[in-house]
Amino acid sequence: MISVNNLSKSYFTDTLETLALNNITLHIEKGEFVSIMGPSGCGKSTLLNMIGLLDSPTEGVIRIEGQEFRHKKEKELARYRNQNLGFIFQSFHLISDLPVIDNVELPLLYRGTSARERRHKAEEALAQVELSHRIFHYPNQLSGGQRQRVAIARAIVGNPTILMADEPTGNLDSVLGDEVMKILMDLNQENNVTIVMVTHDENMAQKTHRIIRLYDGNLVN
Amino acid sequence: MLKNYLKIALKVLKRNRFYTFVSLFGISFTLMVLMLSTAFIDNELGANRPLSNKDRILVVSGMGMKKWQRETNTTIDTIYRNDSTILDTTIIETPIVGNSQSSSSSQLGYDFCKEHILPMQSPEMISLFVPQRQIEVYPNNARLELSTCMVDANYWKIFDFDFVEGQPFGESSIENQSHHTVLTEEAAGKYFGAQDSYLNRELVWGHDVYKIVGIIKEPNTSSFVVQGDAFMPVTNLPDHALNYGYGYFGGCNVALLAKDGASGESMTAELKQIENNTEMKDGFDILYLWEKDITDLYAWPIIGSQDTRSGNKFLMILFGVLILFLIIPTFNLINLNITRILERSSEIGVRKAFGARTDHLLIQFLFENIVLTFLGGLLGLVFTFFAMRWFNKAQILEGTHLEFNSTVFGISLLITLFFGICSGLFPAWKMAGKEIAVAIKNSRI
Repeated sequence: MISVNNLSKSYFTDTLETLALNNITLHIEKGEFVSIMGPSGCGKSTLLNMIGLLDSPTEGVIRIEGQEFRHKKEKELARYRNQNLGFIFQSFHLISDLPVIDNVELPLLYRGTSARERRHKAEEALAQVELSHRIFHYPNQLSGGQRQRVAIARAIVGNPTILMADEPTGNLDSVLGDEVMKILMDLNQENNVTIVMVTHDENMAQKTHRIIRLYDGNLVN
Repeated sequence: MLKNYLKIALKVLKRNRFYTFVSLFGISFTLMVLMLSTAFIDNELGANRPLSNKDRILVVSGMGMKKWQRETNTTIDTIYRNDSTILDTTIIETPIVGNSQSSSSSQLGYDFCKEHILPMQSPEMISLFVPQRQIEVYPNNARLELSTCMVDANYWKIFDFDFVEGQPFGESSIENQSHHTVLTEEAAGKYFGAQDSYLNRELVWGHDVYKIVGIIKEPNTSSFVVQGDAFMPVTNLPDHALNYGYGYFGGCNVALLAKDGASGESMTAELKQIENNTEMKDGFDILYLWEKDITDLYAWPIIGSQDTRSGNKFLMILFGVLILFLIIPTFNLINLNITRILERSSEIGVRKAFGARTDHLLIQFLFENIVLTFLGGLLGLVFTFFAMRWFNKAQILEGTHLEFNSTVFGISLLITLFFGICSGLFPAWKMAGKEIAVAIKNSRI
């Protein structure tokens, strides 16, 4: 499903080159729930961003469902992300000026879905994360756990085949973290969604099918 | 999608109240100043009564004569005759063209105009008038100062004054030196007090009694060619007020009405011929006429010297100032927009992650700017309305009456919108092109 070959990422300043990822090769199967672990600054989020087509590698190739993205235009990448990928961030990144329902509708907005269908699908996604009663609330009126559930609803509203979760439980206490983790596991098991999750939490990682460990930008076997 | 953008736009405006206040104030104030400026320019320089024909009018407001400096060459020939020396001296004076030794200038003499200007062939009509002579009159034993404009019959045909009652005096009044006058509404009110009609009433100036034959509305423009409280036949002026100095100078101005918009140049050419063909007096070398259009006349005391045509330069400076006035708030708006959009780095990152293209974001931010500009425009409209009312009531510039012009408002709004879009485009383009990972990483949420 996802194959990463000899992936490297460097950041350049005038005088300095910082190697964030060094020659990473890995493969993730369809329907797999994989966690990426490692100490801070080891390149976990960078790797996730590459796989999620949010950032471009310095070297190497990423293939998702057989498609390569090296020479794709911004427009094509945007369309692919919109139709196939979902994202969950540690800090939720909900748009504070929009109510929950509009936040969840966001991916469908760029798909040209009609307003009625958008509304219907967003309500379904919110029902899936048990937030139907909060659709007209604004993000700042919700708890951290509820916000992350809204973020999950937003990530799944477009029925993506792959979910990228960057420390989805990182800002939550253990109870709320477990709740979120359960939703992700259900999505993986029931909807066969491939999930790539970055986490610091060993317990959460243990619940996934496989752990990929990084250290100083290198893959650790 | 637009509904979503509108929702966001209004929310953003509500959230950042200070930013919104500064932006709205900037836009509405800019729009108001633009409206007032253009209304003022239209009031002063527009083709409005009594200057509806302004594009066909040239005014000869004065004339001058110059004497060039002389270079003197003395040649001495020595002749020996009968053992004695005889000196033969030849002195040749050559004028140095361009180096003025002395000059003299004035308005035009009545006789000069009759002899040289009135026979001109290129204008459709020629009027001779003596503007802005101050007189004192004593209605009910109270002193009242009036500005008179002594005019001929053609004056009323070239300058289409708005008559409230009565009509202008005609050729027979000029020929017969009739004591007829046309007053402005305000002057009539001051002299006679408020009356239903002022026609056929009498105005006493010195020992003369003038019959009121017409009442006109005060012209909005402050152009001196149409300014005056009382308009009287020019032939009522004594000769010493019409002719003085060198036989050419006097107190007159001449208005020339071109046959059409394109024949102004032929009038200028004919005036040049007059300059060249007029016999010089008192050792002067050249004669020149100050020929100006209505805009030149307006610009003359502000930027020009008397012998230059400075109307176009004046308009360019005016236009430049207006552009500058628009550019400064635009840069401020750009600055504000950059700050505002930087605050929304997270939103940009998230929107892009979920499939927004750069053009989606550009449209979104531009839409927000258009909403802001539109609101600013509405506020500007209200401000303009009140500012004009206050300006007209306070009479800061006497005789100026600013009028709301919907075309000007439309154009001003379009200009503001254009600058509003420009001010949003740069920051939106800058942020929309940002890498998603960077946008999300740099967010403050």
